[in-house]
Amino acid sequence: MFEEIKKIICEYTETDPSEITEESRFIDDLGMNSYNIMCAVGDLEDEFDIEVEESDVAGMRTLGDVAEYVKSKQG
Amino acid sequence: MPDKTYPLTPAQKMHFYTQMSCANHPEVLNIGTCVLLNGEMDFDTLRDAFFKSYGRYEAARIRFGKDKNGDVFQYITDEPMREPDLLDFAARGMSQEDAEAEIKRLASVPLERYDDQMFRVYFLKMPNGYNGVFFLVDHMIMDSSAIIVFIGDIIEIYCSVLYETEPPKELRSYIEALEKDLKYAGSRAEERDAKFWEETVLNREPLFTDILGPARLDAARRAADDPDKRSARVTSDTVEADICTFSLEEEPSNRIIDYCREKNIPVVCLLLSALRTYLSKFNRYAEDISVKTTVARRGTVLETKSGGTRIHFFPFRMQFSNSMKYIDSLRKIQEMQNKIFRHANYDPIKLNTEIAKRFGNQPGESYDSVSLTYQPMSMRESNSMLKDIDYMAKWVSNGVAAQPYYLTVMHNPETKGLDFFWEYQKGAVTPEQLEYIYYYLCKILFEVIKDDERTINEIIETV
Repeated sequence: MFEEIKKIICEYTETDPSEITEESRFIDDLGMNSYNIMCAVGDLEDEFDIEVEESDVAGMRTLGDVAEYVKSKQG
Repeated sequence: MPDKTYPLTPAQKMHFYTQMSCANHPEVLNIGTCVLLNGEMDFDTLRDAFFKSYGRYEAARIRFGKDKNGDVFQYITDEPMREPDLLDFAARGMSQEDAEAEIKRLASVPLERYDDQMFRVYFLKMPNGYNGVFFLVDHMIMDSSAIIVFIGDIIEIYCSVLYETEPPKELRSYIEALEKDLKYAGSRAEERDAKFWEETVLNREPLFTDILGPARLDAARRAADDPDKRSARVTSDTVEADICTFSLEEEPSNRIIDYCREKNIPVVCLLLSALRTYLSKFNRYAEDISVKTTVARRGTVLETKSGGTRIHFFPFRMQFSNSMKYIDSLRKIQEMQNKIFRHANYDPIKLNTEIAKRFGNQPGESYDSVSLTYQPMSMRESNSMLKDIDYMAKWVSNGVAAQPYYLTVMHNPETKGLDFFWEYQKGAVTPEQLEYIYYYLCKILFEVIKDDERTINEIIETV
């Protein structure tokens, strides 16, 4: 799952994919902003067939957080 | 007729209609920007850098045509770029003021719309010793983000030749981004977005509020003989425009930035809330306030590096009680902003047409008098080559504006503070009125920073 999430995130950052880990923070490490985070959320919804509440997004700061969230949504 | 043509995107159509609505002023779509370095410039190398970047930046090669039905299309030309003109104001013995006036005049000369290069380049030798470029481009092929990418690329190529540094990375294909954009119409995503705008704006009529108070709404109500009328038009005898900038110093600007960082609130949300508070105070404490917001729609690397014009304007509706705690209202605005981001591919012309139809508005009537944009990145911050170079970059007014008042808040790399940059129609508002609004916005911002646990009403009473 991490690799699928990483593939999506790579569309939004110029950071070398080899440097992206589960601990990478979207804003501080990958240079993302609230707009591209929300766009990436849309891609994640399509990829994993889940619905993400806007209020949940603030709690997702790293790729690892997203992986946990997706797992919890998929039950 | 070129081999491969594409229809206009909604973002381009919006500009196209703007230009049609200002029929006597086609220059309304001109965007002028000057980039000037302190000291000598190698104009031959700069020229080569322009030609090289032009060759690899499809967006610079966009042209427009008209088919036999009169429909406008776009295509990418293979024709080479025209040679830049050299304007040596220093050799002509002109004063700095006269040189700047001449640049402003050039910014108001319209570009040919069809089958022609959609930008002009002038190399400048200024009387004050600065040398560089005046770049004039049509808004239908580039917005400010696209200009920053193009000029940044040229500077990096220039520096890589002169100082033997690493050449810049390749740019991305405009056509690839355009094709993705054009697939949106009729998609499931469009259906989802239509539902969002129905629930946010169309389900209940918004209320017009004006930065100059309720007089315009009252006049619209009297004219329509309808005391409950909720829309109005900001009238101006002329689209002639000017710009004025109010600069907030570094220390207070940092207080704003630090507050936002600490509370995890985007700066634009704090600015939107300040504007809402101001509009509420001066419009009979209204609680349903809309301003026009811009979404740059540059999320993916492809969208960021491919140029073009992608901005969509939307109504940002802030509808909540003034008895709410200020910090809670900021969270609500942030949540709304995130929602708008997710539905920002929706065609803004379609939305505006539906709003007018649903609420029976006359042409020009709306609910949002003022537009707000926040530009977090200046050219210097987005380009590592420019960090240590003594240069200045500034936007040049084309002399006309389609919107009555348009506020852009941006970082000023020279002062390290925030600039409140207004573009305004001269017939709609005066610089003195805008200065008054600027001071009010600052007062609101610093009261919020002081104590955001107070209610909106309490903040309104304090300022």
